[in-house]
Amino acid sequence: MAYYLQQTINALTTGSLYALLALGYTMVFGVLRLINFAHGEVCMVGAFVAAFVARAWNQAAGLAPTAEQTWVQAICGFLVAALACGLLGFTIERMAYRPLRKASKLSALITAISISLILQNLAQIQWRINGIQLFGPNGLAFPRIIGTSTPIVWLRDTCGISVVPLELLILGLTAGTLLLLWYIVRYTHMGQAMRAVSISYDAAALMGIPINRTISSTFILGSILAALGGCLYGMNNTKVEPLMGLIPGLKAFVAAVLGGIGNIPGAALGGFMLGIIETAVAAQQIGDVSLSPYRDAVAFVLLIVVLLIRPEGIFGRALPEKV
Amino acid sequence: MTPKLRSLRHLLIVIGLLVLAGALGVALDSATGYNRRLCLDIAFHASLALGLLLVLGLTGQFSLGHAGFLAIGAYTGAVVCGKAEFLAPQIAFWHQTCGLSLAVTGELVRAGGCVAGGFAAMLAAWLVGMPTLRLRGDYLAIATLGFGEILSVLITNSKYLGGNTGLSIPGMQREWIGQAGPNNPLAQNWSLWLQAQNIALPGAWVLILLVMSIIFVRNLKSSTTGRAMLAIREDWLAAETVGIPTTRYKVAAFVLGGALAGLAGGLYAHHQYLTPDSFRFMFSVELVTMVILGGQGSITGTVLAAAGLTLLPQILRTSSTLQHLAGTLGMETSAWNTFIDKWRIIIYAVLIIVLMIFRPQGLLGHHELNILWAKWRRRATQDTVRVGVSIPPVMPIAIPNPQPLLIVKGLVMEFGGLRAVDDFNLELEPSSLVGIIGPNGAGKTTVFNALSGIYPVTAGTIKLAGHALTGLQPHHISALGLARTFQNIRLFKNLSVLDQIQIAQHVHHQQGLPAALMRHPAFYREAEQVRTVALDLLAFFNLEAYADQMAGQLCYGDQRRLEIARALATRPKILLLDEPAAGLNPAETRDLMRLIERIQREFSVAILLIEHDMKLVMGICQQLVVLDYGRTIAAGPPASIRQDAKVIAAYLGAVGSSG
Repeated sequence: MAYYLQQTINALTTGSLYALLALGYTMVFGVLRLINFAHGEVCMVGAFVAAFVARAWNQAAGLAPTAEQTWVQAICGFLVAALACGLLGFTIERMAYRPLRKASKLSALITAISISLILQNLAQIQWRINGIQLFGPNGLAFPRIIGTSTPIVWLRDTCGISVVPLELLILGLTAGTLLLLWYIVRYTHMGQAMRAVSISYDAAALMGIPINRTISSTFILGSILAALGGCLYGMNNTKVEPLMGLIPGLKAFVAAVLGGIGNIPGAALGGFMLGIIETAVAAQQIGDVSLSPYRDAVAFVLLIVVLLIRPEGIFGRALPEKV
Repeated sequence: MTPKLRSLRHLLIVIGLLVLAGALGVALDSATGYNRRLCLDIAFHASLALGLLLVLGLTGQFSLGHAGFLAIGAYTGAVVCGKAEFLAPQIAFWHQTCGLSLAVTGELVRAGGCVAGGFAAMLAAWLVGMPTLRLRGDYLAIATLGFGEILSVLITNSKYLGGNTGLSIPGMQREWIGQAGPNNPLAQNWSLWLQAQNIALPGAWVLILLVMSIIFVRNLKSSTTGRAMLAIREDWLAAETVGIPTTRYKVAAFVLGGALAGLAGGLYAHHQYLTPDSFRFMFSVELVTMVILGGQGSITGTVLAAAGLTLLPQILRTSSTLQHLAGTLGMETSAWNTFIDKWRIIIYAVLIIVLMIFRPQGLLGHHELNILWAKWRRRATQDTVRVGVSIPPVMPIAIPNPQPLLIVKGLVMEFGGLRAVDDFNLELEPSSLVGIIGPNGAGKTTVFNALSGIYPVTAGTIKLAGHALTGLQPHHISALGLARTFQNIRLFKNLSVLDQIQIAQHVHHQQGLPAALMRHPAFYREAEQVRTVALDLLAFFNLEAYADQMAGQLCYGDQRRLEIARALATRPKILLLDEPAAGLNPAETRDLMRLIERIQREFSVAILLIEHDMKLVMGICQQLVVLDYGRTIAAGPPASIRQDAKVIAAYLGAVGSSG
């Protein structure tokens, strides 16, 4: 029992990152019908920026930070990262996707992949601001919030599981963000515009919805979620690297497809589901062979299986082609 | 030129090109290491991109795992050449008993590895493509993305294939020596085997592979099969309704593309140290970039783009002009070199974005870079402009018994809870002209979609000359003799007017892929015949002057008529016209009325017509069926329909029925 509980918490922590990233994919796909391949890289940039903020702070203070200060650092780090990623998302859309909106989808996909290449390679160049490293080929250690990495005593005593506060923090933040996003999309003016654009681009424009602004805000919103995902990933794995966005990005895309691409609650559920199934399969053994090294293949096998059975995704709706 | 001569000319050109490629390869082998390697890289990338062109450029399906097929080919080739102990006695046999030189024996094994790689990749492509290509949309992209990643994880975890550290053929052979003792019965053959295998990959092989890929794709593209694939790219649904089995063609393109990549892989194993990481997502993406940058469907464009994209990072690194330029800007050569090493991928990506923004259709768009060919084409076009003699190109179909041609009984169509068509019945006599009318949303087009197999019917039976149509695919129904047009014209916009008609004769083609690739005389004979029929049909519709224009460039009325011509080219027994007069002015509508009557007479087809223009419907139809909310509210000759109270109520609103 304790074992399963432990695994579930691990799985949900992994799933959180997928869910946060999958939302970005699904929202952009909803409004633009475009797979934004640079999304994983936006997440990576967010993680680097947050790490930079904490290091800059520590250098300016000159002393080792106290526990309270690391909390403030984390919050500031996230805010700066969110700002930077929001700006990055806005710029990417403006420079690389908007000029191609009328061209074939394939052309936009090529620019998306090029952007992803650019970001990966920019992050591999040593960047220093006032002598503090921002990017670099070897990555950075992500600063920890002091006191979040020791297992919670009473959970260990009562349930026999080892859970660090950081994991609960990640779960809580992800859940809160999902609720907030759901509120934004469902009940705000901007959310209404986004939903309208995702149903029909032309009709929305005819109803006076500012298409460009709506698409920009979708990108900004998605990028902020990616920044949060990057920060949480950094905290959990303690290290950020230039190529860290690639595989989680692809998996998050898989999660978005599993949930039915374009479907916002579906993407979140798909992300958590992917985390759970991945963890469950990786824990299995067939004979002497542990399946753990095959962890990265699980998402894609699952993807192909789901596509065969329900091509529109688990929570998606199949629409007949209008003739 | 007669078909036999043209076939002979084709054969001579192919042989000439292959000899040329071989000679170039021999010349290349005398070049220095770095430049030779770069040339081989370009040739490999171009061959791979050409394989992907079949999938992405011709069929319009998006594959993000093409490097996976290269990996399968490469690892298969490596295993055949590096681990196949059982081949050692064969080599000794060929060398000692048959007297083949060691070099030739080694090349034979290498070729064997290539072929094995090709087949392995083909099988993998079939397994991935079969289930996913049934689906519409970008599912292939997602599935192939997954395929590439799974493959990489599998190879990483396989000790036999070298895992993460990878493998090379010489390395595998060394390992082989280490493992077996001197008493092994195979030992005496090892030295021969190694001598045969350690010869470096001749450049001629790679260049011949490239030329073969070019010829293969080029012959495919300008054949029935290739045109069918292009039609799928343009509009899969319209392709289905003119009789093209789209799933089969999509799978064929994917499998052939995979086979080309697998063949290349068999050689690649001798060119490169193999690690699972070298075949991942980014490599597939580079190949996709080459095809899209080249122009989707352009062979010359793809080869150019492959060369350019392979050279670009190298040029940035080694160009002395750039170094000199940096020097004049006050940059040391060493500083420039470190700068460019860091930034070249970024510059490369930025250039691709700029190119995409300014030329979203790719370098060459849908065109080929071929001056001679263009000249020849222009001449051929001049020949085809002829005075419009309208010969009915299709022989009337003799109907043996005077039964109704089409019998629809109790047709029901439901979408979710909505009953769009309810208990629809129809009997269509040969060569009759029946109209379906009704207010918007009455279910008229839904009836057409049910008849042509686009939507599965909920209940009821449809029989065409005794064949049940329910449950059949649209291409099947088209082959049985039912053709249609669409309410919102669905032409193959980026293909020529002539191509539309040639494609629509798909069901009647006899010569398949082998004839297209080998260019038998029969291929040329059929091509000429298909072309003649197409030109005659265009002449009937007064469209022959536009034969070489893109269909999307025609004016609206011409597009409508072209779509009818395309439907007739399938030689149907029944023609369904969905609002042919929509958007036409009164004069054009009058012309259309006469045209429809002429079609019915001269092609002896039965016509089922949806139309809102009452004058047209009442003027030419012998029978009318009136639908309202999916139900048939009246049927009969136009005169009686005009008087029918229910019809008047449906169109004008019932008197006293609602406020």
